[in-house]
This record gives sequence, C-alpha cells and structure tokens, in this order.
Amino acid sequence: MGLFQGKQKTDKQTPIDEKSDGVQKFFDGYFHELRVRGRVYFEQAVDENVDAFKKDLEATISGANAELKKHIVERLEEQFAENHEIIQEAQKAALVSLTTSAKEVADKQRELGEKVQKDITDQETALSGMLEGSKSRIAEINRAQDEALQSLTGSVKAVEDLHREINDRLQKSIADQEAMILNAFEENMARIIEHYLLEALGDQYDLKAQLPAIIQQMEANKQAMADDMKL
Amino acid sequence: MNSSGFTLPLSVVSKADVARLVVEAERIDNERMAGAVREKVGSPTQSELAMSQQLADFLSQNQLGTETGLQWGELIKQLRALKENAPVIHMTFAVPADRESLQQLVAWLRSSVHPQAVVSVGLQPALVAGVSIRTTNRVHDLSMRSALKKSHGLLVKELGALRGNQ
Repeated sequence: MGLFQGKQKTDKQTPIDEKSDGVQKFFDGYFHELRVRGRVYFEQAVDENVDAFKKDLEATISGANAELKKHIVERLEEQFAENHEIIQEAQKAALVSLTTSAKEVADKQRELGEKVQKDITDQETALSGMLEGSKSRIAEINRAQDEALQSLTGSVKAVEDLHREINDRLQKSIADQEAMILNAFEENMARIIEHYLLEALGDQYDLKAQLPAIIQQMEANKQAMADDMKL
Repeated sequence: MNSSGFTLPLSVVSKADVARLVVEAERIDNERMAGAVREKVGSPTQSELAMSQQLADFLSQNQLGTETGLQWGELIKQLRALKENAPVIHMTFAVPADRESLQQLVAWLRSSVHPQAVVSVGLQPALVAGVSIRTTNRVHDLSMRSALKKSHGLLVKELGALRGNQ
C-alpha cells in the first residue's frame, strides 16, 4: 500500500511513455521504496504519534475525567448545597407548619377542653336543675296523692250520702208515682163513667121528656137571662 | 101602631117566622092593591084574601082586623122593624126539637124574659140532654154534659173514697 496507490492511471501509452518506461520503472522502484520507507516511517510516525496521541488522549481523557469528575463533583456539591438549602427551607417550613399546627392543635385542644368543661358544667347545672325539679315534682305528686286519697275518702263518704239520698228520693218517687197512678186511674175511671153515662143516656129522652127539667133550669137562670136581654 | 107593642103568637117562634110574616103581609098588600085596580076597571075580584095561620094569629092577638081599615103599609113597616129588633135567643138541644116543645119554651121565654123574644134552634148531640142557651152576651149551659163536668171532682172524690174503703 502506497501513498499514491489510489492515483488514477492513464489508459493510453504514448511512445514517450514507452521510452520513459525505464525511468518510470526506476522511479517506480524508487517510489516504491520511498513508499515502503515512507510507509514504514509513516507507520512508525503513526505508531509514535499513536502512542503519543494515545498518551495524550489518555492524559486528555484522564484530565477530562478529572475535570469532568471535578465538574460533576462541583455540580453535585452545588446541587447538594442547593438541595440542602431547599431541604433546610422545607424543614423550616415543615417545622413552622408543624409548630403552627401544634399550636393550632393545642389551641383547638384547649378550646375543646374548655368547651367540654363548659358542657360538663352546663350538664351538671341542668342535671342539678332536673334533680331539683324532679324532687319538687315528686313532692307535688306525693302531695297530690295525699289530696287524692283524702278526696277519695271524702268521695266515698259523699257517694254513701248520695246513695242514701237517692234511696230516699227513690222511695219518695215510688210513693209519688203510686199516688199519681192512682190519681190518674181515678181520673180516668171518672172519665170512663162519664163517657158511659153520656153514651147510655144520649138517646134515651126526647125534648118533651126533657122539657120540665129544662124549664126548671131556665127558671133558675131567669133573672140572669132577663138582665142580659135588657143590656 | 108600634113594633115594640106587638105581641107575638106562639106559632111565631123564630126570626124566620117573623120574616115570613113580613113577606106575607107584603103579598097581601099587593093583592089588595091589585084587587082595588081590578074593581075600578070592573074586572072580577077575589072575594077573600088567603093568609097563613101565623099571620092570622098575629093579627088576632094584636086585635088588627083586616076589614077595619088596616093600614097594611104601616103594618109591613112595623113588622120589618120587629124583624130587625126582636131579641133572638139561641137554643141548642141534644135531640131534634119538635114544634110543640118549642112553643112551650117560647111561651116561657116571652112571659119570663122578653115578650117579643124569638129563638134560633141548633142541634148538638154531645150535650146528651138539656139545652145550651146563648143570649146577647152570655151562654147558659144547662146540658147534662155540663152537669157531669161540674160533678167530675165529686165523682173522683167518691172513687178515691171507694179506694180508701177497699
């Protein structure tokens, strides 16, 4: 492999070319040698350079690594520092929040405690009131029971009196009824007798038969009749 | 001639009888006037005027002869006044009244109560017997029903006494 291996070759060979073919061949050999030498040299230089480059590269890479590492460490430290600040702020905020919450909780707890205390006090008051009320009510009930008992006793006596009075009235009423029935019977009997007489005597006498009695009665009323006719 | 001086015969019992006397007197007066007219014109006239027993009794009892120049016009006038003014006594009987009994009653009324009394007769069997008399302002119940009603208390009393004895 030479440096000019890739050079384009001309297809046409001129006579000059043929003449110069030896030269060419010479040069070709020379060049071939040069190429070999160059190749060797180049390879050597390349190898040397490669090594140098390798070393340089390794140094570079090492430096870059160190730089990178340093940079990364710095960045990390910055980041850590930043994170630390943030965490500290967050901690502070959390602490503040916790403190506030604890205070609120404490306030709430105190408030609740007061409320519970107040409720307990109210309940005690109410219960005391209810107890007093119950006591007074029980006393009233006892008093009412006593009164009811007395009233019941009085009522029993009143009922007995009433019963006696009703009995007396009933007896009197029975006697009155009996008398009334007898009176009614007598009255009705009198009416029956009258009716019987009216029916029995109704058609028995004509006017001629009645005339003496009529004139006799008219005689008894003569003066009154005469006086009335004069008016 | 005055209506208050008339005496009514027993045959005139009711106010209707007096009214009949008035009508009859008017008829006779008309016939007399017609007879007089016929006599003037020479037509045959009725020799005697027919009249009822009641009118005849009335004229006789009051001495009013038909041939002695009786003023028929005046008589009619007085009879009308009598019909209006004669006192009416309402008599209600338990049985139908016969004429004879009525005349006896009217005779007693005219002799004892008023000489020109006339009666108005009614019938009410519920009276049982006797009579209920209504004069101008009063009622005299002389019936048996009234007597029983008056004796009702006595009857009840006697029934009570009877029960007491039992």
